[in-house]
Amino acid sequence: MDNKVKVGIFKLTSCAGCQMVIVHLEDSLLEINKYVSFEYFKMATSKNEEMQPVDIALVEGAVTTSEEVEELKEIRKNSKVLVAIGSCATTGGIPAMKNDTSQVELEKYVYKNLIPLTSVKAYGLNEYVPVDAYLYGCPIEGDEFLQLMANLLAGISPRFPAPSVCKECKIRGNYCLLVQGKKACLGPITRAGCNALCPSNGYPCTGCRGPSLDSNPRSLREILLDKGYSQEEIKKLFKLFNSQVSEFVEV
Amino acid sequence: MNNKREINIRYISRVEGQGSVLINVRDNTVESVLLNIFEPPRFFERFLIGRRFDEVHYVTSRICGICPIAHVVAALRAVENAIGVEVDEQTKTLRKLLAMSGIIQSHVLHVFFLAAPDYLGYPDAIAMANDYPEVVKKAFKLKKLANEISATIGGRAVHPVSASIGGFLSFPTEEKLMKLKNELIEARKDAEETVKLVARFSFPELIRKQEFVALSKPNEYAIYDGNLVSSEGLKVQEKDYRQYVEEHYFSHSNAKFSNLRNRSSFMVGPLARVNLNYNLLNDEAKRVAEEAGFRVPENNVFKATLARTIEVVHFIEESIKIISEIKIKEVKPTYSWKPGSGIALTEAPRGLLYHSYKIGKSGSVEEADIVTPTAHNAYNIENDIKTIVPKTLILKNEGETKKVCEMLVRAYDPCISCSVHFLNLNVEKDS
Repeated sequence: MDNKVKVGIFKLTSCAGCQMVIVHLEDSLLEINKYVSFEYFKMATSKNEEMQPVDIALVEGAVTTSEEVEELKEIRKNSKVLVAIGSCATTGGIPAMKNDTSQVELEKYVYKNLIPLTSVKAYGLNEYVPVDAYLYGCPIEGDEFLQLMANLLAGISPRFPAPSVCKECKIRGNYCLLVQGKKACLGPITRAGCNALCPSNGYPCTGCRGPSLDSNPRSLREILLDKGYSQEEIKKLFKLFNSQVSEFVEV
Repeated sequence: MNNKREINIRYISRVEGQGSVLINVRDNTVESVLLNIFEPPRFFERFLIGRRFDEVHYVTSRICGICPIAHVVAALRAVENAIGVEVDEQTKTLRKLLAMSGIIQSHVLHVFFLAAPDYLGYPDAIAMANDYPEVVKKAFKLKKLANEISATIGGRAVHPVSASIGGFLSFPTEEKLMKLKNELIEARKDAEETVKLVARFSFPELIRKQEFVALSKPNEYAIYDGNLVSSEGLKVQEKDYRQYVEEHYFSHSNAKFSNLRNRSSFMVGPLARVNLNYNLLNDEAKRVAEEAGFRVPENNVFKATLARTIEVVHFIEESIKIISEIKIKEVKPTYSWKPGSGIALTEAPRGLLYHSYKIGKSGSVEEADIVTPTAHNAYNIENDIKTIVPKTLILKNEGETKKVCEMLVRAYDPCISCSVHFLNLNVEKDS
């Protein structure tokens, strides 16, 4: 069908995990395929060499090289709606952990000698182009992707509520890792939507979905200091996924 | 007259990540092959420095969205070796089950979605689904089951969370395990049919003398630990890895290339594992291999895809065994630790994976070193292309050469995000 909505899935610097979440949707992916045509999906298809305009561009990964800046601008120019998917595309995520170290030192450590790399500081997409919608998390949630696609296909601007992970943890009736377990859990300041996946499996929230709407990192810092965590430990924790998020870093 | 030309495959599709191949040809002789990995470098080894030892597996999982489990398991074992933590049998068994589910998922994805479209003549699996709906449905079912196992044991399929230093933070219910066991029993038939389907593919042929490398153990088909062995008689203990495997950086690639000291490139992955450890496959896997006409040693690189399907049968059977025998005790990890250095070698879906860490007095990472399966294979892929291009060029046109080279690269199922921690094909030739 020619009237299908044209979708492109693009990858900058990332692990491809968010694309994998989409691939893992299996049956739902075949259902979506009735309404959209995937024009770019390098990992899945050998069609398409040159960039053609698309209706929806889903971009995974952080921008970490000068070539990627150009590529992203080209994608922006050729797409009606641009969606940042996953924490790398949203805020720089894990790749942005390198930003604290000078580029020369990074290259020397990993490659032993200086080489013709074009690597620059890592940022989310909105550092360089306007972004129309975000899917949060490392990796994204499959259900949120389906909701996003349904909204976009219906012409509705996608909105995801932003209470904290704590709310979902309470609904699930979990043991509280922060209060009861005395663990450094970032649930109180992190955007919900993952159904509190990590805390429900005994792993403290690491803030991969970024700040919740009512996020109060200062207050959480006080609580963690009280529990015996050092300022340095807290800083590292806050910066794992959010080294470019001012609310987290200023604390 | 200068009879030089360039064949350029600019962006190899249906592989995980970004890479290209540039081939320079003069008078139908290949002058050089450059496997260019332009996936941006990611510097994991540097930014892990200063992180706490119990975060390492959680962060290194993010090296790869296809084989996060392999990185989790390798990182956990390497850190545990560094800080002197030993885990109980239940933890080892659950980690193996988790690792097997990761391999099944990755293999099914490769066989049906990345490789099969080449052999059945489609740009992708979605287009293939129109003519082969049953095949695609089967693939989805198998992949879904593998992901369910990963999520049940690891908490989540992409970037699992439950596996931790010293043990597991959460445990599956018996009810869930029983459901998985029943689904695995049902999946036996689909896995066997997959072997039959792939055995009918007309594989191009590339046979050249090369060294296969994999982990090996006396009494099990090794994926979790073991000695490093090769088809040329190498036998190395995990801790001595760096004395035998060298890494080189070339300006054309952001991935480093590996070779064996004083020897050449080598191949890791499913074909290497099946060739080296065939006798340790279970009876079901051996039977389907025989029926498919798979004889070891199988030296045709393209048949790595067939080796994957045989492994899927093997790991389904092993998973059934594990689930049937395990009685889970919900013991949360407790351990004491000391600073130190440690190494782990594991078998990821794509082959040998190396993680190594030095943990300091404060519990922070002081040194980190990671070599992924695709980095192990990269140099071998270049050598393979050098061998196959002259054959195809003389017989066929440039388009065919590009296609065969892409298929060859895909046979390795390269994981490019991993390797920069790979592919665009350029063939340069003279007309």
